[in-house]
Amino acid sequence: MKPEQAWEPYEPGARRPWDLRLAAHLLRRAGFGADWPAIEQAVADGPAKTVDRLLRPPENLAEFNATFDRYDAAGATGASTESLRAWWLRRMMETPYPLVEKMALFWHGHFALGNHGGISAALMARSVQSLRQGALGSYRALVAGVMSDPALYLSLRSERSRRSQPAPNVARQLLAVFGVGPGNFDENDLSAAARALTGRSVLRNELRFFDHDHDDGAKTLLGQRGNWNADDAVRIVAEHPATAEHVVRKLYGWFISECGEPEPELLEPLANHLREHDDVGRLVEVMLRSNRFFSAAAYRRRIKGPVELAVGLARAMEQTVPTLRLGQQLAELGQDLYRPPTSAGFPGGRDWINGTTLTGRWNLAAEMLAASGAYEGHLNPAALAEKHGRSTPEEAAKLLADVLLDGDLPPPIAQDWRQLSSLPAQWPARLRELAITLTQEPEYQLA
Amino acid sequence: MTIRRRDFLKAAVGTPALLSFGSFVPPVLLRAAASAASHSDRPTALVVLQLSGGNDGLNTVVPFSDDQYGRNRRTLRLTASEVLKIDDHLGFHPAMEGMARLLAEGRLSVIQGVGYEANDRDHEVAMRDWHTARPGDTGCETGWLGRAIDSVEGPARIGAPGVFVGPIPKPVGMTAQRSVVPHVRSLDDMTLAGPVAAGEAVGDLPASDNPLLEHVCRGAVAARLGSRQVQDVLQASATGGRYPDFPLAGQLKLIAELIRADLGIRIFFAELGGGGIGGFDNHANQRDNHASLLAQLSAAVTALIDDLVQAGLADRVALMTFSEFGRTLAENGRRGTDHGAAAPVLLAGGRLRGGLIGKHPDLTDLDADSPRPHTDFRRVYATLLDQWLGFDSRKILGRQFEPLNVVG
Amino acid sequence: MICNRWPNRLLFLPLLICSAVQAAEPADWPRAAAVSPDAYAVLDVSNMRAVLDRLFDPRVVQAVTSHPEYQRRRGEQDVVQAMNLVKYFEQRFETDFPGLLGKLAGGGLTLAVGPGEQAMLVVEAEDGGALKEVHDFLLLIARGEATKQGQPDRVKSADYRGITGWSFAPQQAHAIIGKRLLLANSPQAITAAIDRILEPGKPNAAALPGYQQAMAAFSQSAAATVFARMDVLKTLPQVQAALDQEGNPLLALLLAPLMHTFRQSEWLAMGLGVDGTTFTLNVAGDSGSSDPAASDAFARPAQPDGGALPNVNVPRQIAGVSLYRDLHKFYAAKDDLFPQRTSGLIFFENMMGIFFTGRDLTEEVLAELTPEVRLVLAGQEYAPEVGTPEPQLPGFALVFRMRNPEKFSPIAEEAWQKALGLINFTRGQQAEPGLILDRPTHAGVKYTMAYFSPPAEGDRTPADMRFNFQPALAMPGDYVILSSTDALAKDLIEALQDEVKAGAAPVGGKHSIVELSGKSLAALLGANRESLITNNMVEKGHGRLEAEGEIGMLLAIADSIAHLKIAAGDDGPQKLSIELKLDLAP
Repeated sequence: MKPEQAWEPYEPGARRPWDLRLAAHLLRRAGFGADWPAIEQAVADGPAKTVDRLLRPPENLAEFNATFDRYDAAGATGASTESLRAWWLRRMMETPYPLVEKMALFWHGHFALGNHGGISAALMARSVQSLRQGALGSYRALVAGVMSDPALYLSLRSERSRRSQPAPNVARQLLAVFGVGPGNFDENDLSAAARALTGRSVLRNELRFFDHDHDDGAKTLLGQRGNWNADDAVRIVAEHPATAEHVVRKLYGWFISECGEPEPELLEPLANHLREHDDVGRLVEVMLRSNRFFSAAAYRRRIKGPVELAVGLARAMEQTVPTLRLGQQLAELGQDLYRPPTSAGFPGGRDWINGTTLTGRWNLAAEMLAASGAYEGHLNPAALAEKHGRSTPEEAAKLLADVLLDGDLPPPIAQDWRQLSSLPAQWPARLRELAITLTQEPEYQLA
Repeated sequence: MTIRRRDFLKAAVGTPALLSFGSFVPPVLLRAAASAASHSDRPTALVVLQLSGGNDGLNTVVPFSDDQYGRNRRTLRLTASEVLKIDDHLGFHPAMEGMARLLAEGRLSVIQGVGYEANDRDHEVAMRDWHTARPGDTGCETGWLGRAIDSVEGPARIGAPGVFVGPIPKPVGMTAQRSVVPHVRSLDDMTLAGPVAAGEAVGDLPASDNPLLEHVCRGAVAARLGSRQVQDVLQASATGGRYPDFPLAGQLKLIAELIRADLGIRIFFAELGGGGIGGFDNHANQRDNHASLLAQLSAAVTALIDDLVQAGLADRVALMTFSEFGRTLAENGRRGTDHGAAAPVLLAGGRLRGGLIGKHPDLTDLDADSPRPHTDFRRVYATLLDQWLGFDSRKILGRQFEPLNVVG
Repeated sequence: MICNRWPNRLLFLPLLICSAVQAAEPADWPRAAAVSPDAYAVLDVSNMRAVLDRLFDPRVVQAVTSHPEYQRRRGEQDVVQAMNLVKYFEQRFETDFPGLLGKLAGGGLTLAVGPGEQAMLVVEAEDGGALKEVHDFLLLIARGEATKQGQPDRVKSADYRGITGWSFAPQQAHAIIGKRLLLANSPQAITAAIDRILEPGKPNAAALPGYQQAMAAFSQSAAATVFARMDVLKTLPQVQAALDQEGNPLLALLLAPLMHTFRQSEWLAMGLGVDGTTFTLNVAGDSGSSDPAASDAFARPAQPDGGALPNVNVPRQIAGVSLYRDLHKFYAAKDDLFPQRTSGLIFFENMMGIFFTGRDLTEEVLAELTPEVRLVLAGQEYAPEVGTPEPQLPGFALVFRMRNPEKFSPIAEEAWQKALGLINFTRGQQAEPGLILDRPTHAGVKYTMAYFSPPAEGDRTPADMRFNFQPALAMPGDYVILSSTDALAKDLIEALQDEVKAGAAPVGGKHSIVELSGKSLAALLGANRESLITNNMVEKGHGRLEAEGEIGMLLAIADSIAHLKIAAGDDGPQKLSIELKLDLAP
């Protein structure tokens, strides 16, 4: 596939027909996986109309976010982020606008604020809320926002930076992670950026600027010479052409595929789009509508992060679960919301899965689907089947396979299921078992 | 194609037609599946045990014959008749009978005078330095063990190279950049629940061109096989060692079970002293409190080593203790001691040189009332990484540290 | 949840009722004679009518039936079916539901648990004919249901020594002997019970000396009694674990004496009494006074009339705890009570070493206090310039008494000021606002309190959690008051001055007295309603409405507790008494 063609909008055809698999794929990548009514509607509407709907903020969004912002604020006391973590998971499960939560999660991993324990929860709440607000807007604005967020300086243990003692951690993060990426800057750029940032200090959780601590001498940053201050440095890095490519590469891994590194030519049209428009929402739109997105090179070419795994399961079952405990369990599987392990963000791709974490993922799904226990049996496949009028075992099994595995009911499981006694009294328990079995299929770990 | 367990075992003992699994499954699991596999070709494991609060090295390995020691310790002094003598000058705290025996058996080494120059004696800062192994580097976010875990490549990576146990938050030392480092609270965390556990199938060979699916399937084989091995260990637990009844001993027992299950875990981390406050930080009434902690330390470590000896695994396991700093020579007014510098690092397990390594710090040459370290702690780390685990310490520690002669 | 379920349980009761009289009716026998002598515990309700009257008190019925959860459940299919069945029998016997239960179970009931998984229920009907008729009807239904599900063999019957036993389902068996129904979870249990009834010489629970003593203690006064064989129960791992609180110093301090009593007892007997809306539970046991060297000696009054002081009363009081605990003896026995040195304990000793300037904690600090220790919890009001913090915490205070006030009060004052200084220093390091110290006088007592400066304008809703605290230390007379709020310290100064005037005497023989006012607790919970609701949502995964329902229920339960009083001692057979006064007015 040629790069231009790759990013052309996908048109369903005989070779690649629009079906449940692609509809579920779209809803998974642009959100956290969908419930049956949303899948059914997407199949009926076709890709164009479905992407339209996914991109359009729903009318009740402001009200929804205001309610959850209030819950965030009430739980954000001290340094513990347990309550915030629980409410974010809950927000992901209930949001009418999954794309923005999915992007907020992406930016949270990208900017990776909060990576050590001492930062106040209130500060972290504000930090993630601004990522959410800007999630589909200008990337440069996002970088500028994060660079003026006190949580960044606390995360990188750079509360003070003085002319005599610049703090290189923030400068390195700006260049290597938010900006041009490793290999596209050298020690001189690093020192220039660090000098430009001098004078910024965090006092009592506020970012302040002290002129007497600022080094206002001339610096050369990424080839540009001037008496740059912090805002200049942020602008120079954010507008640098390599920055767009660096960010687009990460977005490619998030939306399209984690299999191998994409060719620069493939990314070039996307990078150009970001350079030209600096509009994340429109860039995501291009990706979500594209041939590449709906091709075999993208389908199931991502490993679900722990959050995607659990939130997706709850959404598919159309129920919320106790998220305080869930947040803790997801942290142990490697994704502690509000507390990424390092400033490089969360692990990803293959690193999510080893023998122990997969045991943990399977056990978590089984625990969530159990009739009783820590998750209190909220997820209830039998109730789901009844809700959608599936009154025979075959129909109920089909529904679970549709919402959990894009319709793939593995033949041995289907056979076991058919042999099942037809006693309706046993259904609830057997449907739970079936759902657990489906979550243990290797494909279920893929997004 | 579904691999059944019988086939898998056949593969493990070398039926040529099934050797192709070799690239699919980590060798350690393959080998473990064959119960006849010998212990001697198992990979080595390192157990790191943190003593939180700053352990009083001077009352752990006691220079009982040193006048300076006797003069400065009015209530805490341990006399020649009290200590468990190592030689004419040094002896273990009387609560450390088990460790004294391990030393006599050649299963314990005492590396003396360990620490580092710039230790500023603040709990949090010093502990961070021991964990990152990059004193003073505020930009360093990963731990030395986390970096070791990240450095594992290839099939061994699928088996989780490092885990931590006990009721502690993730230690900085185990913070990795790209690896998920599991927290194991009990063997249940390593055992599959639900229908998957009941299945006979070990795993499915992916008939797919999707490398990620293949990766998940590898993980699935490791998960199923690991779970089964853990269950086997549980069923055979009657043959396990006898452990005393306190939390650290329970944690070391769990580690022994994980080692016996042969899951390919190379690095374990446990903690004694409560992690945050208190613990070995004996500013007041040190005598009884310190004795109680050392008794727990000694009895738990001894139970672990004895258990491993019995299982024929002691030669594959080394345990290292560390604390963020030692304590002052002089007592304070509250029958306790304050933050110091050098302290001994204890190594227990098999294939060690054993005995005292290095000299006891000179008590006439003090730094702010504390013995000075003469051996940088990263030399201990480097030696264990290179010589015990077979990792590349330069990559993990950032430079080459002079090795110590401790591994036998 | 119990409240939600009990109507169902009662509906279920008639379903258990069964079988016909075939054998010659044995001579009169106590219900417990059917019970194995190895049962762990036996509950006996002799005065069933009194219990039914209480349960169906119009106020209770009103409280339960108006609850939304009850409304929701009564729409469920199986509940509707069961209710129809009850309606049928109500009409058949021309009575209401309590009347029906009276006919079928009004003679009393006995429930036994153990050994192992065994359980047995003996129900005595007032009207044997009605019992038989209901059983016959249910038998028809059970047979019909079994046939419908393709398992007609599920309903079985067999004769044993002239008595017919029935089984409607696996793990269920029963028989009717005279007016009594025997119900158990295995046919073997039923035949063994029949053996015990027909051969009165066979060992049975009713013949145990402990059971007879227990019955003698309570059967006259109590509506229901429970007999528990501690000698057997103590061997169960779960019970062992519950009785073993070793390792946690605070739990040991609080519970060691009670746990000691339970460990020392061969049997315990409980009597439940009902008087209007007041419920009492008295627990007796056979443990004797233990020796002075026992691990709970620190809670044993030296004089026979010694014991915990009555609780102090202050405005807005939520709870009061009064203990007799010799802290010096307690801490001196720490090696036995909690041999493992937890990091918390070591930290505590580090801090005490600083606060008390290196004094020996056991001999020079704790030895200065008398064994009378009290804890008070009270709701608090907030000054308008501070605003209302979230969450709202109650004020709490510890009250000790000093042996040598002149000598010890300056030492305590110095320790207190050092502690405040340390708190301020630590908060300063974290750039948090610190406390400002003051030395005001109240009711003639000069004391030390500390407070946070009010927040800046516009920063008041909700106020920070720190505004729940104005820590205070006051030492009126030989008392030491350590309070989390200034208001509670003042209230206690007054209350203790009154106590001195009135000359309070200890409650002889009691080592622990706990009192709780449900109304004040409900007020506190009500003030934190929103955070309780949101916490319920993430903790249980409930929707907003469900969470509001659960918290509403919690508030209603708390609000219905007019007063709860628990007293424990070990000076005679009476070990523990619980008195619960309900207020069911809406």
